[in-house]
Amino acid sequence: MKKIVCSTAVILLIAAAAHAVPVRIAASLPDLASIAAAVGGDKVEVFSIARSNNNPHFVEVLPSYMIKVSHSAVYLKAGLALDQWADQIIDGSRNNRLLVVDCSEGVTVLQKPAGRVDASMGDVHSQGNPHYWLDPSNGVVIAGNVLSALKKIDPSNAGYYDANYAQFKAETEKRIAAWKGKMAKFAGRKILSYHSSWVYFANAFELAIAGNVEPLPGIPPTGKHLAGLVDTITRDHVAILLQELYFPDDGPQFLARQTGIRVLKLSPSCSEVKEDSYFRHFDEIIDQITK
Amino acid sequence: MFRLRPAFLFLMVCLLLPVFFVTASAGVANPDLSVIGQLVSHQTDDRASQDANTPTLNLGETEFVFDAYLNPYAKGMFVFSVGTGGFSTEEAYLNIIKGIPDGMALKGGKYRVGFGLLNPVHPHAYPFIDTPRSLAALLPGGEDGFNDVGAQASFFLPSVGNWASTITGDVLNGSSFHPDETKASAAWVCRLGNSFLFNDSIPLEVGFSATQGTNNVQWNTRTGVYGGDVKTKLPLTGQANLTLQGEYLYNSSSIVVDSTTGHFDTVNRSGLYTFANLQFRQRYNAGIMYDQYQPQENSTGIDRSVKVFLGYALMEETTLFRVAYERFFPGGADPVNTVSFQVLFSMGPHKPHQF
Repeated sequence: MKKIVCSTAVILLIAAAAHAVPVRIAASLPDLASIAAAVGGDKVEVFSIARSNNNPHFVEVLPSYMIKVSHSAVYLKAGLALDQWADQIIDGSRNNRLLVVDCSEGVTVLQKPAGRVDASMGDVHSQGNPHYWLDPSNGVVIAGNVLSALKKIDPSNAGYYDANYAQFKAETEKRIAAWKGKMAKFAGRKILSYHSSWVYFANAFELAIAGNVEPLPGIPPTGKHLAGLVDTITRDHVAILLQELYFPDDGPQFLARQTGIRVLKLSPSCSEVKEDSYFRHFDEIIDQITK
Repeated sequence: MFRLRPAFLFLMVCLLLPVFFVTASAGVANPDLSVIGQLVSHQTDDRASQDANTPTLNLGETEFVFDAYLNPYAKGMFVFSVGTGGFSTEEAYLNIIKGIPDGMALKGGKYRVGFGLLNPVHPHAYPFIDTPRSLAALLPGGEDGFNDVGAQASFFLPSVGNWASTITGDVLNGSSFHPDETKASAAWVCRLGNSFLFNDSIPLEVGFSATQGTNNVQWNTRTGVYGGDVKTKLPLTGQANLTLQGEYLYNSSSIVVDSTTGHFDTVNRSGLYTFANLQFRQRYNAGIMYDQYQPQENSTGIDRSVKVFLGYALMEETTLFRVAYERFFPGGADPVNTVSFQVLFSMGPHKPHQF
């Protein structure tokens, strides 16, 4: 009898220890990792391959990333052909049990090209604009994809993840209302961006993108194109240019000198992977715009 | 190079190409297709060259790359090249990545051998125009690179934190060691690669490679090459970064000096290359390379080379311009100056950037 009790206690202790090991989640972007941290809470350990100052289209495939992913249970991909480098990391991880999640599942995709797509259109995304996390309502969609994955990998904590998801959803809706309030005076106004990273953000907050510094995705601006943008800025009273951190300053600085447009250098991704990093990123962007 | 009947292969590619051009990206049935072409110009004052002081303009090697998942467990890759040597299969292999124990990968076919850092990479992906002279002089395969038919197994070693170690072993057909003989004699390759990631942003790779094969099958004389390599990439201000890379090689070969008796001499030679490449303003790169080695024809002398290079990429590797100046110091002879210009153009899906 004593032996049975002791054996049972040992088995229960081992099972409890196994459950205490957090679910390791790798993500292509810090925004996806932050949302995963919010849904997973203290049952998950998250990290992001790309950092906020990386161009997410071109992240270098390092062996160290493959090893980190080899120890992970879930990989969160941005999808829509943004993070094609992730496939090489996933394959290189040699992780048979890795659950790969396309976080764009369920997102209403903007700027989906119709008809033939080829390189004459620049480095265009053939599946549509992939920077969807910059609409905070898509954060809830991402969270839903993360939730499904966690419940599949760790069903014993499904209730915990459901509760966290509900809390994240409620908090997102509350913050969207507050952000829209702050941005209300900019509704209908036109902005410029360097690359087409801010389409979803503009759509969420009723801004209109008057043009991009890149004449086509991936193509540097010519003098003629910049001159055209000067006319656009003047005609449409464009007050703000959103420039991603990893693009050159020449074009935006020229436009600022010529027109006085305010250039805001912002990362499309949050700088940390904590539970509230995704929200704080919107706070920072909106504070900069409304300053 | 392993060559198939050129006319047959050319016909096969012509018949298959229209199918792939309909959808250039991989679907359920179609592989990813990329084509990489290059225009190369050289001008040299090397009196030993037939083109001394005459600018040359050539269509360099054109590569056709087909790759796709074969099934949920394996990926396939085919690289065909067309150049002055004719039509050839540069690589054709499968990679088994799932369905085998975690941390393991298997590869089989014809491929650029994983010795050191540069040899496994196709030369068009280098930040400079030509393969370092030390690699061409000391590795089997010469200027074409160390490329053979073989089977490879690779394993992750236990690691902690941001440190990753991989051990890889290959058994090769060995024909790259004895290209003039058709009789088989197997060779082997082994590599230990170690990757570190400092501050989540500074990668450092340190590796050790070794290979042995038979350079003369009739007399069973052997060549061994042993090497060490290091690479790091330092983030600088703005969008700039600096890559520092180098490899050291030691070649020990038993060379038959009397083909009737099989009498051989052991010739030991070493060499190294090192370069620094600055990537800046997103599209530009500039760098300098130092290269030195003991040539086969005079293993006591040392040939040296210093090269500077500059590149501009319009939209990644779709259109890439490179220019390089090399001053080559062949041991005991007058220095040679060469200016080179290259335009690389490619179509097909984006490939990720390898470290």
